Amino acid sequence: MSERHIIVIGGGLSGVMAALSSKSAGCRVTLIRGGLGRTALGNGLVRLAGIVRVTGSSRYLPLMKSVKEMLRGNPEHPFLRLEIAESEAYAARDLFVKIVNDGYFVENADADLLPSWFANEIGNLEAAHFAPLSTARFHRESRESVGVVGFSGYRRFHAEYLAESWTRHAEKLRLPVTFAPVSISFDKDGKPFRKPAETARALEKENELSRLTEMLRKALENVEVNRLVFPPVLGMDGSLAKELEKRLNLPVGEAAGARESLAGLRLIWLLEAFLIAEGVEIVSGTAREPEMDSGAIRSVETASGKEENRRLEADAFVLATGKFLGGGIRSVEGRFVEPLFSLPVFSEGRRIEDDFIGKLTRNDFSAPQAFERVGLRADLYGRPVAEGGGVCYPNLFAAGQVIGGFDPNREGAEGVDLISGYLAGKRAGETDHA
Amino acid sequence: MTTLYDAIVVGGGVNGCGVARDLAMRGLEVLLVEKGDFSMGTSWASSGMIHGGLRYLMSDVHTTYKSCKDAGYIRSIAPHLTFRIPFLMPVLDDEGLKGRVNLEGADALFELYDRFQPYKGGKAHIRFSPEEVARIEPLIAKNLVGAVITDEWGIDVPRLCVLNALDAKRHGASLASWTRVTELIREGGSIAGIRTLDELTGEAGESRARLVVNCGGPWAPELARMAGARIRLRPAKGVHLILDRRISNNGIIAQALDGRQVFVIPHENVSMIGTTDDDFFGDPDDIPILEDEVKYLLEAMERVIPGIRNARVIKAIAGIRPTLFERAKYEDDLTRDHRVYDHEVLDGVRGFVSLAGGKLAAYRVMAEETADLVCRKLGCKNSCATHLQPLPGGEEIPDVEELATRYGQDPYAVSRLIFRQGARAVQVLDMMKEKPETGVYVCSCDPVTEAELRFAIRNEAVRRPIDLISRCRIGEGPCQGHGCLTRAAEIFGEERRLSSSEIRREALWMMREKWRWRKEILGGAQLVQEELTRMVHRSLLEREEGR
Amino acid sequence: MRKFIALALLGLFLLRHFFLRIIKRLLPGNRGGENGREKQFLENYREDGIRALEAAEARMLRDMQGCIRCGLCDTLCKNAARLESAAFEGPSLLVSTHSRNLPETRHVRRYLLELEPCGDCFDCMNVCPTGVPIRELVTFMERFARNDLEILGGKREPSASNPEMR
Repeated sequence: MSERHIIVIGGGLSGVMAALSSKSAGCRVTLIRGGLGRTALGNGLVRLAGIVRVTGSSRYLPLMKSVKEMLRGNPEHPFLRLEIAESEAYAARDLFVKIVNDGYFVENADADLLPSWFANEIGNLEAAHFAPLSTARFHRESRESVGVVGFSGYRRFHAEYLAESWTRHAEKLRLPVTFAPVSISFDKDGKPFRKPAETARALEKENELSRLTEMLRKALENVEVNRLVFPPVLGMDGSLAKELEKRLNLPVGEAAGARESLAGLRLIWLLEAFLIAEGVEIVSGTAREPEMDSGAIRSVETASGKEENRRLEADAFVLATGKFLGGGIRSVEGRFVEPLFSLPVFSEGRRIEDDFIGKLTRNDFSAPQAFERVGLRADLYGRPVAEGGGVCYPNLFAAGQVIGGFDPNREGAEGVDLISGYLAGKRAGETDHA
Repeated sequence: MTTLYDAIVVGGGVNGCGVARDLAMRGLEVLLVEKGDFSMGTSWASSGMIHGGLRYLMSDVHTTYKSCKDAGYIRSIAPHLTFRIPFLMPVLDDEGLKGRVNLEGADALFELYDRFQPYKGGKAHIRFSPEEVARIEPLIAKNLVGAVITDEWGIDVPRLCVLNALDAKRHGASLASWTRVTELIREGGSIAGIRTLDELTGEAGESRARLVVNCGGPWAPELARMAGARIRLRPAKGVHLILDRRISNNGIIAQALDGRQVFVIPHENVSMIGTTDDDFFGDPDDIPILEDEVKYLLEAMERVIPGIRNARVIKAIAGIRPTLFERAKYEDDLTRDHRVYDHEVLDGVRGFVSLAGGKLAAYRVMAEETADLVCRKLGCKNSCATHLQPLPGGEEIPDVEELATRYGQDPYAVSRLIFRQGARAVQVLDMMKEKPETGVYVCSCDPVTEAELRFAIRNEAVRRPIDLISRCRIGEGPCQGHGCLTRAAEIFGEERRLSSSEIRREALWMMREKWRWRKEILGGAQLVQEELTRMVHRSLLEREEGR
Repeated sequence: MRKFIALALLGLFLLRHFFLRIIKRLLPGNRGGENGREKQFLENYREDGIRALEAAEARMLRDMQGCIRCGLCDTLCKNAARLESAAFEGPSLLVSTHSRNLPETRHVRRYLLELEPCGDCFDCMNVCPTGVPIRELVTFMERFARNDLEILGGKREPSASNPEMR
């Protein structure tokens, strides 16, 4: 009997999770990926669920309680629709830990998974369950005074403002951390660095790095700090954090990035390395023109500008194309569509098609918005369903942001990626679904 | 002891700013009060054209003459701020003989208009065959009989308002933006001043003047009521859709479902589709944009530009035209005329004058008329000079390539800087030379450098970061401030020594204001943009929720 | 009264117009003269930076609208990493700034000419989340900078590869 073949469409966090969980179920896996998406554009922080505060206190709930709180009153959340067993959630987490073992940090891996805090470029402390090792993290027990390093020639990172803003936020969160700016006049021969990558590449040169180290040594003579936070530009892969730590004899970390963050790309590279090591076939290009046969999907064509188009057949397919950023859900001339398989798109459990977008938005920018919850609706196996609840294709499984029903920014986008990805891969690998 | 002004102008739209400038230039002590930032009402939502009044050729030739002449004046006082918009009127084939007659009629009409074009530096019209149209405007529909082209002037309206206000200040006027008039001080039968509330500090204030000029636009009736006088408007809502780029070389006119004319015009680095015209009796502070209006505009344009529905709409803007009251007329047929109200004669209220109605292209003439009346009342003999003296930066337009070479900057960025700053661009470039790090683009859509922002914050009556939108067009590109608004707030905070929480509050305020104008048109690439913007700023929203 | 004057004037011009057109039709020599109108248009608006675009170019420029300014192409562009020119932040600047405002693009040529040919590197396009055909734009802009300057009224740069004007 031949091996079961799974095609995963999408190379972000959820797609990679799906590919690897299929792989570990003993299937042959092909991953089709086009351009980058949400994972590459993020700041590398991974939240398994929304971060929920204990009512009337500054403390936060441990993970499983957070999840329960988050799910209360939102029956459309994929965590509920997929009927996830606790053991499956932990299995998904373990798989992720295995993937990112080298570069990511997980706190309290066996206990409650209380979040740590990370200082981001927007000026806030942001909670997350996983973060790159190079990102500076803070928690309740660490009483610290942190130096925020600003370069005169890197204007995206405003050390004075950030130090003040983070200190205030830490006070609010009752974290025993204070931040103070450490500004040095570091630039590119009198010219500013314009982009994070430009800065990171410059620092990778030994003479620039030692110049920076010298300047910092001098600047630190008059300042009492026991940790340093840098703009997130410590080398393209973040490895300069360790190097600087050695040279300065102080713990060194990066802030979590905002716009044009390198951290998302680093995560993508990490995932890619793991896929290759595990023997997953990667096809670059976009998937299109699926072929169906007796109600099931048989094959898709891949198209890329470089190579010839190929038609790939498989026993099951995982759709991990993301939401708007990944192109999994599009709004074309005012109509919401899933472009590859023309699957029905839902919002809050209701089918939408050419709904006026003004009905899915609210006046208050900060309020939760219905359009963010738009996406596919899945049955308990993760298969997209039609309006009546019937499964669209028995061998098509959805993973990650393409599934709707939850608010990515408030209800744990990466958690949905990890868990639904893991489950989609696992269930696609199984032969029979009742 | 409060100062006694000669005149207080209430309303910082193009009319208010124009009146303030005119009065200040005539040597009067003027205070200009605006409840938001300058140009934040109707002016901001206008089509941004200084047209010569082509449509009045059919009703009143003299108006066309006056309009063209004044367009020429505006162009001469702010040459850096104006740009030419060729206007193409396509005639579709689907109407048979009627189409051909229309084309000949348009040709003749434009021929007549050519006689007035020299007053404003316009070119003679050209008539095109369908093949020629396809070559100069390839995206246009193929089923044409022909087309006629003429041209009009476009202008950056928010900047025009600001420059008028700044020039008033240069002539001694005081400016008070973000200051709301809460009450008019009445003494006997006369208006003696205003009571105000500073929207930023929350401080109440009082200013006295010999005369108050009401330039409130859609808010004018409310202010008149406070004075015990009466203005009757028939306010009409106008909606524009803003596209992410110039999709055409020419302004293109199309006929909407109801026979009205709508257009798409290239405007600076975007295109605008406009406009609707519907009675609006709601709150001018909260103007909804309706599904019907968006669909109406797209349907109309689709006939002449078939691919228009695929274009990326980055925002929709709505404003209220303060048109004069008339009964039994369709909105579109209402006069675009203006009226200066002498409330002493009309309502027996002394010391109170109003200006209402009108159109952007006539702002200077309207201001002149209003100032004439004010001067008559105050016994000031000086006459108007607003058409003779250039607005700040309009003295001369420096050469782009020469400045770019001299300062070693990107010529494209320099050309955009000169567009806004005119002769004053040199001062910004000097700052960039002295501190090269301020040459970094904060908003690369336009682009806007840190130096330009700092220059505006120091010299252009900026009271809060959101004012920078009208000063420098920051955050007006396709990403709608995704990358620049928070940074702009930080720069502002650094200049004014704000605390981090004040900076955050201002940044969030800007994001909210921008959101208001795109929430009805999110679609296509703009929806993708929105997911990115919200992902990057999610912690900003969270902290806002009080966590 | 005013309306009457306006309509009378308009009527006069209509009559004059039809009269002239009939005469033009009768004179065979004048019929070919209409080809000059396109030239006249470009001549009229040359100082405003307006030029004729081919349909394919116009469509390609419109395809640039997908850019969401995420900056991934800038991060991975080898040309941007190599180029020391202060002006060139990366391909995203071409896409989301210069392609939007063609008339002003006459001022972009300096660093366009500094750009090294992109060759087989399609990194910018491969990573783009929204699939913007960035490379096509770069090629277009390079050609634009080298060959089309005269139409725009700018000083012409010497170009070895294609000395012919369109």
